[in-house]
Amino acid sequence: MRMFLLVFALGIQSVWAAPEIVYVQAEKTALKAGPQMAAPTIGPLVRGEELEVLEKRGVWLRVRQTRSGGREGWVSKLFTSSHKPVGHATLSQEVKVSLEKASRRRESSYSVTASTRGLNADERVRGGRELFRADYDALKKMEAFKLQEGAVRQFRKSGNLE
Amino acid sequence: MKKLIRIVSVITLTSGLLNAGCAQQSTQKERDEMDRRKLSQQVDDEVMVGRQIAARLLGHFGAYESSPQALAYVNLVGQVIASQSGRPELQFRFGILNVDAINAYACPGGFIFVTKGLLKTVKSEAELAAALAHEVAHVNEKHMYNEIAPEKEMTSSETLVRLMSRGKSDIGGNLATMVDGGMKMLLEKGLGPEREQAGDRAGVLYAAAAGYDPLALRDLVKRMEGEAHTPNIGKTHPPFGERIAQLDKFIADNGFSKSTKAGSAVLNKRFNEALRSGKL
Repeated sequence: MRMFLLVFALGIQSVWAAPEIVYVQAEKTALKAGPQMAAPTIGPLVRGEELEVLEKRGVWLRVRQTRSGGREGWVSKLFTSSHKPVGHATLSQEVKVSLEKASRRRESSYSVTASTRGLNADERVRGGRELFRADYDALKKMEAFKLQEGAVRQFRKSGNLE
Repeated sequence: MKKLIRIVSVITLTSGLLNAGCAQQSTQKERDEMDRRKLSQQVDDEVMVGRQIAARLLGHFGAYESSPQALAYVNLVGQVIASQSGRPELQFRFGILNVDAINAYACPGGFIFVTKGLLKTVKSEAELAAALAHEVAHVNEKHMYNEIAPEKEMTSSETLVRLMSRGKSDIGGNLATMVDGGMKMLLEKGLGPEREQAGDRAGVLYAAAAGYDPLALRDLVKRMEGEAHTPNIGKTHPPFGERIAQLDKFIADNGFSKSTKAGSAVLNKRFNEALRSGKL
């Protein structure tokens, strides 16, 4: 009976004591044999791959790949995160409605607050109500800037950065 | 009888563990969904603050728009670095500020700027990549955002309440203060020596992981030490000597050496075409 209790306790512990898990966020990185970028590469890591954290040392983590046949090695914590990776396009699509509504509401409420008594941005700066003048036209241009489809991949390839 | 008790115990234990496993699986799915929604809310907040600061940086210095080729090049190099960073949920944007002082700025949410002065100072694509990687690191590690909007860890129920209220956050009322705080950090106070050195370390790793010379940031900081147009950096960053010493240590600890790619003909050619030959 005691044996059963022990097995039961161990079983419960294995269910509840979850190991620390991180997910690869970088587009391409590698499992290293030591806590150094220059250490020999054990194998590539793909974005989204699940890793169990075994040890932490500075910006480096000793990890084990959780997939079947996964290996142990080192990866910089800068290339991982505790949540599964979500691309900005996916993220904005999934919560598009909520984000748009939220952004509009909050930005408009901010604009109302900021444009107290009908003063424009320049006047508010001159009147000491705001410390810095904003240039929203330049910001919109920056946000609208788009590289051609596949340009980054081609740029990387031609520069032998792959 | 004892045998029967054992069989019943084994069945009970097995089914209990299986049930626990299933329950864990189902809650894991729910947790993933909750995490995703929480992340989207955090990104939304961060971008909202970042774009207000970015608009003020553009208002303060002005955008440099005379060279579309230079802008495209900075964006290409920046996106190569950003793809290596730890935050694919952000859409990084890169701009050029019309000022001769040598500097670069990062705003929360992925708005990154280099000055015209910095573009004149860098000697290679690898050095530009290293400067951008340092800034990307500030965004990824939320060096400014955590200072001006200290992150409050939300419980699942708080996240749910916030989602049900269609994303209303408490940032709205504090936005003006946060934006002013962010601008003061960029122009006057700086992020602090620890965060700058963390930015240097991450910058080296991001640039190296992208395939660039890992020593390029060190080379750039060393050259900036002797430049006249760096009064702001002196005010907002640790002394150059300290940064170089820390970089040397990090480079040695990681076993980095000069990359042969740094001098590749293609990198040199496109760097010269975009940023030299009278392009700035």
